[in-house]
Amino acid sequence: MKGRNWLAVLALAACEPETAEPAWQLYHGDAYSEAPADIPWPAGELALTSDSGADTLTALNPLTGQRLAVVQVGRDPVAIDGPHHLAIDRARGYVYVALSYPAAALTPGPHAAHGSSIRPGYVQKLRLNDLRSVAERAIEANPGDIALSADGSTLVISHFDLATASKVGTVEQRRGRLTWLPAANVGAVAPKTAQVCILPHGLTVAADGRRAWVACYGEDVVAAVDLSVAPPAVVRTPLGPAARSDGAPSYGPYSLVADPSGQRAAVGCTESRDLRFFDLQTGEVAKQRWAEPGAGAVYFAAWSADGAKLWVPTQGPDAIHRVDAATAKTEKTRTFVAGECQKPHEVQRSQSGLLLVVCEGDHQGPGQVLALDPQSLQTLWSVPTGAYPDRVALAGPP
Amino acid sequence: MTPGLAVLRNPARAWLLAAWALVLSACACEPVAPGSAMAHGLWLREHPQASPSQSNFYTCSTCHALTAASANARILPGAPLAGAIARPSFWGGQVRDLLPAINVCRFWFMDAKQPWLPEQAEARAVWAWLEVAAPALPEAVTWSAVGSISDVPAGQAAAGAQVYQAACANCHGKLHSGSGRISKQAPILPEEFLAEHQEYSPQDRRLIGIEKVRHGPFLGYGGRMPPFARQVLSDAQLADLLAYLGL
Repeated sequence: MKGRNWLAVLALAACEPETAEPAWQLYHGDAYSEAPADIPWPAGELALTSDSGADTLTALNPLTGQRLAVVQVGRDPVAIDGPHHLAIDRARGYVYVALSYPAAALTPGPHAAHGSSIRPGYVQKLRLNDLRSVAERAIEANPGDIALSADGSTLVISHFDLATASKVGTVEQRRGRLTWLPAANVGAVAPKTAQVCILPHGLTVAADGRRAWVACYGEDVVAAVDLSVAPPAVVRTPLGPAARSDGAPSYGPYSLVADPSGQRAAVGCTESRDLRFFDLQTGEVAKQRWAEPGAGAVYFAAWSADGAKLWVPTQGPDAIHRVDAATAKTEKTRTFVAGECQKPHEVQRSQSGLLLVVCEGDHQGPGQVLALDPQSLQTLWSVPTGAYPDRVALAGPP
Repeated sequence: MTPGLAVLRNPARAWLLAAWALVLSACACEPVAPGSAMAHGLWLREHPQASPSQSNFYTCSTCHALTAASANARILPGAPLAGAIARPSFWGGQVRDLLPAINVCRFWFMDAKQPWLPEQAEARAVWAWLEVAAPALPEAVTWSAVGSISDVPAGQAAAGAQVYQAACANCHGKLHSGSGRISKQAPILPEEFLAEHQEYSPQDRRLIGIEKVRHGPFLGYGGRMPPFARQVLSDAQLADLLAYLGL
């Protein structure tokens, strides 16, 4: 607005407050354009961690370990939003993060502890260049894992809902849900949901977004879900003869990671402390499984580019194992000593061949990301993250 | 350069702001051109239509003064509005940008289900008004959420009466009667508060009072009362207030 116009504004000043809402002129000046400089993404790959205990995302150069940015995310300015897992779409320039609102962070006083602390989750769509939210959508409580189809069309979220799983009732009544929605319209289109299994968590989605597979901790199955039909068709495959749905799982499948060809998935089990192989095409569980005496609970593994090797993180003891995927035999193990990597949660393999391991830490202080040599499993670099990181996601060049 | 600083470094705008300040100082209310976007912003500041919810009773001015000096001894939970467009962050650094910070207020306190988008007329009008209502360099605003709750030492009821008048009366009205309260949703203190929490022990009721003041609707408490950080309401003032309320 020009100076003379402002004088006119002053001349027209009225001291009586308006009571009824009149017709208003639209402000045409610059507004809300305060975005600072973009995050200096590397020309090659980029890495992001979801720091669920700190409400931050940590941005890294996966080649050098340089920490590029630590950015606050979430929508609650007081409580922990719990950004829990994320999925990057570098081609379109977005990252999707699930906000989980962990109950433990919501009960600090006698009133709040007395009431219900279960809050809906949210999924936020952030611009990749500055990690600002452009859209969000309320979803069911306790989002567990989030995955984006390779074509960028479909976002799928599992709900690791302990309250539903612990209900007194039938198996069907205790089953949690899967949510999916078009990634292009996160804020505008109501998501679809389907009840899939008890405590669904780690998941993968087909390249075209029409099918999803999810590891079901509380039911000892992998659920294959056809998202293209209504109602969605769910096929549950037990991971073994001892599969249980009574609240005390024998295997406790928690993670599910597809190989690069999309043919099979590695299912990490936290109760049986082994890794099982699920054929995504036939829906069969291989008889062969990886297990190592004394190994800890298995979390999210990484495949080699040719699908021949796996790097498997375990907790309690905290370690990483290189496994021959054909024979399910351990080739090498590195056990982390105190402070090196507390609670390794996930391994990702970068395009340059490095292994990135995200370590949860003690859930109070910082976690960390380690880069390991894939052969020797020795640490090449280590950088701190925010508290309780639970995913490191990699995206290739744009 | 931040937009607020840009305003100050633009000679024409700086001159206008000076003129504006003169008018503000001469007039008991703030002058606006009827129908202008700035008037729209001012109108939204003073009316609950900043949220489409029929149950909203807050305005921006319920919690925010224009400047710290213009608060007139009121204890307000919100930061002064002047300088807001140039602040680097909000809510103690938890929110990076102004519009999301406004939308935090609209969602948590004003029952607005949908956030304002940057291109919306209302959001732009608020910016238009704030741009002119920022006649000074942005004030540094520190704000720290109080996480876990603990008791405070015994306070003085006489001093608590002043705290109540400065911090509570605008919304809750007069003690015991609620006369003049902003809405029936704001409970009469302390009677309705005690009635709503009669299943608790006296000690827990006291902690719940602290919890409500410090957490507002956050951290699982619920309701729509804004939280008072220690930067605006000290533990000693809170102790006096509790004594005045008989908690």
